[in-house]
Amino acid sequence: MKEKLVFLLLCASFMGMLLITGGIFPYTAHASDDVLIVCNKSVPEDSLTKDVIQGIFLGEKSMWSDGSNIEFVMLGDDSITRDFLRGYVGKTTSQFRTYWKKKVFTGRGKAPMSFDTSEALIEYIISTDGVIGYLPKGADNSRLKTMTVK
Amino acid sequence: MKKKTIIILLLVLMSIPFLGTIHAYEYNGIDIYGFISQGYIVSTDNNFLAKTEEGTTQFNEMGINFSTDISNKLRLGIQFMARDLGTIGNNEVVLDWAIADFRWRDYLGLLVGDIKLSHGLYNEIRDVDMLRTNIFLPQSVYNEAWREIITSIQGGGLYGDVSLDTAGSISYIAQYGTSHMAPNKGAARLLEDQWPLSSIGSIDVNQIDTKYFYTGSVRWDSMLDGLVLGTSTWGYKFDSEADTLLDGAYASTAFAALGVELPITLTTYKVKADSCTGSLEYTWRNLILAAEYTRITYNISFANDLFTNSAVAAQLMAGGADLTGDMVKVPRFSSMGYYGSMAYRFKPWLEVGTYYSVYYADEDDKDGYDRTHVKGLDKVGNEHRGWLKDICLTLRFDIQELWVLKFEGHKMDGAAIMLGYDNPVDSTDPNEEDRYEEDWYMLAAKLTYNF
Repeated sequence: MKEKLVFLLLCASFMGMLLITGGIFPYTAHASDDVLIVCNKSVPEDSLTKDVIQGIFLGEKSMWSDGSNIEFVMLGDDSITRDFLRGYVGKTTSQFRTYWKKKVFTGRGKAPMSFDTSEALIEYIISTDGVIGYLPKGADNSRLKTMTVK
Repeated sequence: MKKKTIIILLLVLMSIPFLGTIHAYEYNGIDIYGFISQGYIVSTDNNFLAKTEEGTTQFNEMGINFSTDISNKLRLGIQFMARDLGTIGNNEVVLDWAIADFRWRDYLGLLVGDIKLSHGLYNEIRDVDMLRTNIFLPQSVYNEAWREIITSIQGGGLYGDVSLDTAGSISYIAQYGTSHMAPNKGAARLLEDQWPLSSIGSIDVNQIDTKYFYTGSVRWDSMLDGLVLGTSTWGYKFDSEADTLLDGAYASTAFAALGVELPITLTTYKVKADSCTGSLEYTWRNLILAAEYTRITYNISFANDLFTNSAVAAQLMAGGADLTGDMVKVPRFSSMGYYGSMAYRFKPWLEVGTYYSVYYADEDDKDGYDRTHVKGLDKVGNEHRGWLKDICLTLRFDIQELWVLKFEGHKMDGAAIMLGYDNPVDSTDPNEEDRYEEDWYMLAAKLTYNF
């Protein structure tokens, strides 16, 4: 009983700290509107749901509808990646990194490739079949297929 | 491969610039990842799986893995690991996992080799400290002494991910094979502690032969963002032989009264254990709440010439044992544990976590009375060996992306889970009244580098 009380006290302190630091309400609305989902032109789909995008970036969906392989790539840019992960994958950057490290250190997956610049990411997507990635709105997407998100 | 080889390899790789978001070194298409952790544990009373009362640095882990894609559907990988926790591990380099992963479809893949065992929310990440908030996972569900046998399974498995559209998605895995068990490691030590007459004598396991090990796990990522529900099960069966040591003063007296001549002969054991676990995790932005419940049911039988003695047989039968066959069947019993946890990342470099964990060695003997009161004999041992209640508070500092430092405090009530091997009998106290303290504290610190 004594231990349960101490634990409840700890939890209450925890919640108090969250409120005091503003930790529980640190976000504005999800910034997924600032992100474009782009693919290589070989990708058969023209639109994707957010659930499917989440499944792809969590490694749960690995094939397009024609059976070809999906490869997803990341941008090294912190703010656009943070917005993308928050809006489409439902994870913070640190949670996403931990998720993939878990795959890597249990032998159940390969960490995604990451590019330092939008230009490098665009060139890779153009040259590689089946690749999907994301770009900040306003980036040059003329040589890519831009996905409609349902 | 020796520990020194792993350390040199890790140091060389640490000195090379790295690439990508989740860092790896790549050599001819082979990805290389690694980690190295060093910790320190100290406790006010009781030795928790090491000589913690004196404070110990015998608490480290290191590993390195190599993996490559053979094709779009086939991936191969291998990880070597060394760990030390008191007498467990001793930095001996072992094969941690080695996998061939053939993913035929998203909903069906095949794994063969030495595969990480899926159990609960966090069993697969037990070896890799930086993947979790706490240094010690809640012992009620992730018993550290069991780690070596429920870390991986040698055999094969099927797995897959199934989308349920608006209802979320389901991930599953089923595995079958055998497990690593050795006479000088955690499982044997637990058996030594929990053998049916542990209060009046001891055994020394010298051989373990695993018959089978199975596991199954289903996880539902629900339609509510961040809410995960899961259930998992594992079970095994093994035979073992143990030297039986009823040579203490108390045992001599007790057994002499029953007409038994000491020492006695080798004891043969057959052990079957089956577990089931229910899991719940909710992630809301930087807050992660989790709760799990687990129950392990044991079926143990054993044989020894001792039990042909009618007086001893009568004692065993009075305790509920079944002596009708060649083996003495101990009444089936179940351990039970649960915990609730909470973790919040306040800053990119600071995460705070807490949990409350409760474990009972026998769910029908929560106050430890039965284990210390053998019929016809005086009370022996400590009742509080029957439970362990643990309040934990952890501070995790991500010093930079590749370095993690943690500090953790535990307020403990009870003395279950700990091993008699680490807490030897005081020869001046044959009744072991003071062998284990009921209320005690433990502090731990750990520094991890990974790439």
